[in-house]
Amino acid sequence: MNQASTEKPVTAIPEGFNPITFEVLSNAFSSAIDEMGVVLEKVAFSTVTSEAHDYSCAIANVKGEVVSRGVGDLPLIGGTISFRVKAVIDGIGLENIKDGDVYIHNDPYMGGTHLQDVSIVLPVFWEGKLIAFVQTCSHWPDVGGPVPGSFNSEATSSHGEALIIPPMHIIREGEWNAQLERMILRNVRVPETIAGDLRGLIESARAGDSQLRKLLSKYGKATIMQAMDGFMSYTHTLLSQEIEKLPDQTVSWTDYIDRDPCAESDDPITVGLDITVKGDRLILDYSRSGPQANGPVNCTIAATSSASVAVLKAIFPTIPLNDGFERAFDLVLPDDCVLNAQYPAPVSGHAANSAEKIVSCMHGCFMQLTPERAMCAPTNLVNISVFGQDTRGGRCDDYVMYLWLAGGWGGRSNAGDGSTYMMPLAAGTRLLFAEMLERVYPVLVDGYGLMTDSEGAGKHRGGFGLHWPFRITENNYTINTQGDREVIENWGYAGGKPAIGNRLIYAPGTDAEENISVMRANFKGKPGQLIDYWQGGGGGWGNPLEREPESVLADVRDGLVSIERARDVYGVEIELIDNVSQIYNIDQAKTSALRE
Amino acid sequence: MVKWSVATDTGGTFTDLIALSENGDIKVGKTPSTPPDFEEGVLNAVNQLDVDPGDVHLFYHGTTVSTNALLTRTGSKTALLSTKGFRDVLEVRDGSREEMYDITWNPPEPLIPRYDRMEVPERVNYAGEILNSLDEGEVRRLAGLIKKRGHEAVAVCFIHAYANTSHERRVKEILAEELPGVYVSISSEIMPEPPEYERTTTTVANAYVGPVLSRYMSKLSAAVQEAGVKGAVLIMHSGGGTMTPESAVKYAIRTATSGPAGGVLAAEAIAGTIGRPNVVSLDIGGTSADIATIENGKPRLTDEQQPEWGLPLRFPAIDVVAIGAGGGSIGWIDAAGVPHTGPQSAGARPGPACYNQGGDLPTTTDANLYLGRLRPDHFLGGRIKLRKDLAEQSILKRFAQPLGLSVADAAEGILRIANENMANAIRKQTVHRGLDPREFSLMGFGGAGPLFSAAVAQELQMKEAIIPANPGATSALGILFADARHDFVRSLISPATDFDYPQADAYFAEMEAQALELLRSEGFRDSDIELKRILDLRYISQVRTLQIEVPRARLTETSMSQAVEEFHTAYEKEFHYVLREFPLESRSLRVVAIGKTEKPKFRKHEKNGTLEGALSGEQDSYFGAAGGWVKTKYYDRDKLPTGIKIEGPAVIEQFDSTTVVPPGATLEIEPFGNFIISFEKDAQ
Repeated sequence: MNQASTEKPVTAIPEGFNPITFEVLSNAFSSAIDEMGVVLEKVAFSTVTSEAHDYSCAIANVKGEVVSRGVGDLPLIGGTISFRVKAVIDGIGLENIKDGDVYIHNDPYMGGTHLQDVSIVLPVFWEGKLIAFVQTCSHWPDVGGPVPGSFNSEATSSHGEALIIPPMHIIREGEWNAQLERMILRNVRVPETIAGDLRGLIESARAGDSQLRKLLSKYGKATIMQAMDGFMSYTHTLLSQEIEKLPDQTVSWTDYIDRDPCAESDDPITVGLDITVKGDRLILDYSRSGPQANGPVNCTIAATSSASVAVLKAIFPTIPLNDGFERAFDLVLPDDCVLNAQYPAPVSGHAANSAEKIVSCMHGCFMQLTPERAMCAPTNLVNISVFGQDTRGGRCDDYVMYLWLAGGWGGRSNAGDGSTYMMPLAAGTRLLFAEMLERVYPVLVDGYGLMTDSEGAGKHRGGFGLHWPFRITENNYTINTQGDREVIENWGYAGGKPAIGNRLIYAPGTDAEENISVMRANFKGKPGQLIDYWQGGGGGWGNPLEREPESVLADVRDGLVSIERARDVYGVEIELIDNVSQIYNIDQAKTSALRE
Repeated sequence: MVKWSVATDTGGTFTDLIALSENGDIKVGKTPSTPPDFEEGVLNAVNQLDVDPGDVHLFYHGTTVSTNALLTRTGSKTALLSTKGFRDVLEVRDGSREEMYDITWNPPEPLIPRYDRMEVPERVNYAGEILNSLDEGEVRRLAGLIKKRGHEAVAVCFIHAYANTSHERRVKEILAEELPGVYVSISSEIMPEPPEYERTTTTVANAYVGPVLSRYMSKLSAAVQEAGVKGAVLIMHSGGGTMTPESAVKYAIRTATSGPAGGVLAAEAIAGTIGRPNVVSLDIGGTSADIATIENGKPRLTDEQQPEWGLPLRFPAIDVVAIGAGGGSIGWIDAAGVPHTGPQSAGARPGPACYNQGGDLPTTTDANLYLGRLRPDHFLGGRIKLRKDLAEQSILKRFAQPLGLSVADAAEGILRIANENMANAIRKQTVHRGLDPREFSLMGFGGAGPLFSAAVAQELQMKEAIIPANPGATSALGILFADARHDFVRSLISPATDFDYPQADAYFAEMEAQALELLRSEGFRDSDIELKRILDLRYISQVRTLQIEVPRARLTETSMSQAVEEFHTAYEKEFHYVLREFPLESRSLRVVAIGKTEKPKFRKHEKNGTLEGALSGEQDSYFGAAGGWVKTKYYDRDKLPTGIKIEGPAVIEQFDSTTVVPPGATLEIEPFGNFIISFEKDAQ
C-alpha cells in the first residue's frame, strides 16, 4: 500500500471528476467484463472455451482503444483486441456502423492472431450516438482448411490454413445474417460446436452491452465517456512511474525459433529485442529479428504487441489491464519481419513459435532491468491435434482431439525456484484431464508426471517438465503439431543452466520409432503404439553450485533430481541411507570438494 | 421439562453458544476458544449456560478443526496410492495459476510430498473394464513401507475408479489387514466422479484431516458427556447439514469450510419464518463479507468449493463467496491517486485508527464513526471507547487531503467503495446465475452487516434489507436449523435418447440403500428420512451441468423426457437461451439423504413501549445524497416496541451491532423482531 503524502499528489483521475466515482466505475467495468466471460463459458460449446478459457473480453472506446479487459482471460488474445476493434471500424467504416449491428472477424492481417481466434464486436449506442464497443473473442476448435483444427504446419500462406472472415455483419440492425452463418458452418468440421461457440460470443457481447447501458443510465454519458479515457490514463500513469524508476539504458536479448518448417534450410530464426528505457517510456525494438518465414511461425503486429504486453503485465501485476499499457511504449518492427506477418503469410503456429520467443526476450530484457520481478525461460507451448475415427460402442464418428500441456516455469532471483506445472504465460489455458479425454476420445494415457532431471539447474532451479506418454487405441489417425523448443533449450541466467525442451516421439525403443516432432503436419500413426510426449522445464537462475545442499537433497528425496545429477551438476554428494524411511545423507566433505 | 437445542460454534478466538427452547426462548453465550484443546472451550460454554444439561436433547457443533488442519498444513502424515503413472496428479493440478500475471507467485505445497505418493500397477478404462489387474503383492509391499514410515492415513485414488470400484475396494481390504488402525479413504467411496484431479484432491484432503478430526470427535463426545448432556451430538458440515460424530470421522473433509454455512442456514430459517423466499445473505465481520443466495427458500449449493487455491473439494457445499470488505477494511490511495477500500484489513490489532491501539490507517469503522453512524460511547455496548479525533485525523491525512475532498466526503467515499465491492460480489452470485437481485431481499448480519446492508440493498435496487434480531449471533443460531444431510453420487455418462436405464436404477437403488443404512445408524426413524434422486444433465460434450430432480421410481422414457424438459426450462432461465434439438446426456446420479431433526421455532416478540422511550440521542450524521449533515435519531433496539415505523435517517444501536437507516428509507419491526428496511421507489 502506498502512503499518500500531503504534497500535491499525482493523480490520473480526470480534472473535476469525483475520485470515488472513478474507482466505483473502474470496478463496475471489471465486473461487466467478468460477466461477459461467465456468459461465454456457459453458452459456448467447445471445451477450448469452457474448460481451457481460451478467450478474451473487453470494452473499447469509439476509437477502438481498450479501456478495460478481463484479467483472467487468455493473455495473448487480450492484447490484440484494440487492433481487432480498430479493424472493424476501418473495415465497416465508422459512418456505416449502426445501432443493432454485430460484427464478426478473424482476419489476422487486420488485427487478429490466427484464424481460430474469432471476434465478435458489438457497437454500443446511447441516445442515438455510438459511444463504445464491446468485444469477445474465442478460439474455435476448427475454422476449416486442409488440417483438422486448422493448425497446418505445412501451410505456406493463409490459403493453406483456414477460412478468413474479414470484418462483416453477423447481425445488421437487428437482422441475423443467416447466409454468412451458413457459409461459415459449411466450411468447418464441427458445425454444431461452432454454432454454439458463435452464439456464446454474441451472448457474451450482449451481456457487456447491457451492463454498459445500466451504467450509462445511472451515471450519464459524459461521466462514462470521461471515465473510459481516465482508465487508460490511470494505467499509463502507474506504468510510467514504474518505468521512470529504471535508469535510462538499452538492454538486449536474443532467442531463436528452432526452424522454419517450410524453408529448405534447418537454420533457426532469430527473434531479437532491444529495450531502451527513456525517461518514463520504453522502446521495444524487434528490428534484429529475422524476416517473414515461409511456414506458419509468423506473428502479426497485433500478436507481437499483445505478447509484449502480457509480460509487462506479469512484471507489474497490480496495474489495471487496458490500452494504457500500449501508451507507455513504442513498438519498432521492420516491414519484412517474422513478428510482422503480412497477408497472406501463414500464422497458425504463432502462439507456440514467435509469440513464445517474444515472451522469452521480454523476460531476458527484464532480467536485466528488474531482476527481482522476472524469470528465466519458461516452458514453450505445444499444440497437438489428433484426427481420426472413433468406432467405440459401434459408433463411427470423426473426432479432433486437442492436447496441450503445462510445464516448468523459469527460476527467479528473489522469488526462488521456478514453479512446476504451469501453462505457458501468454497462453494461460487450463489442461484437460486423462479421465475426460479417455471418455470422449479413443486415447489411453499411460500416466503423467514430473520428469526427473528436466529442470534447468540453478541456485534457484527452474520448474520440472512433464512426461505424458499416450496411445491412440482405435484405427489409423493423423497428428498435427505446432510447437517449438525441440532443438534450442529454455535458457537459464546468471550462471543458471538451460532446461530441455519439448519432444514428441512415436513408438520409442521399437523398430518403428520416429520423431514426430512438435512442428509437423499429417503424421500418420497406427493404433496402440506408444507416443512419448515431453513438455519442457524452465531455465535455472544462478550457479547450481550455490544451491542450498538441503534443497538439492529435497529434490533427490522426491525423485525429481537423480543422485548423479546432484553430484555432477549441483556438486552435492548424496548417499541413500534407507530407502524405506527415505533417509538420505549429504556427504559434506565430498560436497565441499565438489564445490571448490 | 422444557427441551432445549444447543449449538456451539468454535472459531479461532471465540466459542459461541446459542440455546433455543421448544418455547422459543433464546439464550446466548460466548467464551474464549481454547486451542488446541477446543473441546474445553465448548465445555466452558456449556457450563456457563443457564440450562440443565439434562434438558438438552440436541447438541449441535460447528468446528474449524479440519479447516485449520488443511490450511495450516497440520493434518496427519498421509500416503497416497495411485495408479501406476499417476502419482503426480495431486501436484500437477490443472495447469492454471491463481494470479494470471504474477511471476513472483508460488503455488501452495501439495498435501502429500512426492516421496509419500506411491504407485500401484493396475488400470481400468473409462467404461470400467479392467485393462491391468491389481498387483496385490505390490500393495502389500507398499503397506509395509507405509507402516515403517509411520503414516497415520492413506488415500487411494485410482484412474476411473468411479466406473469400477473393485480395485480400490480390494486395496482397502488389504490395508485393513496390513495396517490396522490406519485411517484409509478410497476415492470411490469419497467422491466417485471424474475427473482424476478433483477426485484425488478431495480424497487426499479427507485422509489428511481424518485422524485429526477423529481425535477431536472423541474428545468432544467425552466432554459433552461429562457436561451431562444426554442428547444426540450432531456435527455441522459445509453442505448445510449435520452428521453424527461417527459419520464426520468417515467424511472428515465435509466439516471443512463449514464456518459460513451457519449464517446462511439462519438466513434461510428467518426468511422462511417471515415469508421471504428469495434472500441474499450478507455476513460481515472485521475483515470479510460472506455472501450466499437463497432461492425459493433453499440455499444454493456448489460442488466447486476451494478452501484454498489448488485444493478443490467436490462435496456439495453451500455456495458462499467471501470478499475482503468489513469493519477493518482500509481506505487507501494508490500511486496514480486512485482510491480503494480493502481488501487489506487493520484486523483486531492495531485495528481501526479510532481504537487508539496505534493504528493510523482509515478503516470503514473510522468512516462510520466520523459520519455519526457509530457513536464513540456506544460501540459494543460501550465496552470499547472510540476516538473520533483519531478517526478524523487518519481520514484527513490519508484519504481526504490527497483526493482533495472534505473529510465527510472522503469518509463516505471509503464506505461507498466498500458498498460497491459488495454489490459487485452479489451481482456475481445473482446476475451471473440468471437471478435478478431486484427480486431478492438482502439479509445483513455479523457485527458489521447492519451498518452496510441498507446502502448495498439500495445500490442493487433490492426489495428491502432485513436485519435479524441478534445479528452478531446469527451464525451459531443457524446451526440449530440444520437437518442431517448426506450426499451420494455415482458417475453415469449416458445419452438421454439411449439412456442406460438398468444401470441408473441399480445405482439409485444402491445409493438409497447406503443412505438409509447411514441415517438409520444415526438414529433416524424412517418417517423422518427424506430421499431425493437427482440427475445431472448437460448438452452432450458441454461441461456445465444442471441438477434435475427425478421421481423416486424406476426411470422410464416418460420420466426421462420430463427431466429433459425441466432441463431446457432451467437452462433457459440461467443462460437466456436454449437448444431444444441438441442432444443431452447424464453426467452423474445423486441421492440426497435428509434426516429431519426437530426445528426450534421463533417466537413472536410482542413488545410494548413507545418510540420516544427507546430514543437514546440525537445528533448530526452525514449522508451526501441527502445534502450533507442531517439530524439523526439514535434508538436502543432492546427498548423498541414491535409494529412501529422509523423514518431514516436513524441509527439503531444494540450490544453486538448497529443498524443504519439512511434518509429516504423506512424501518419496520415485524412481529418476530426482525428489522425490515424498505426504500422509497424514487430514492432508487
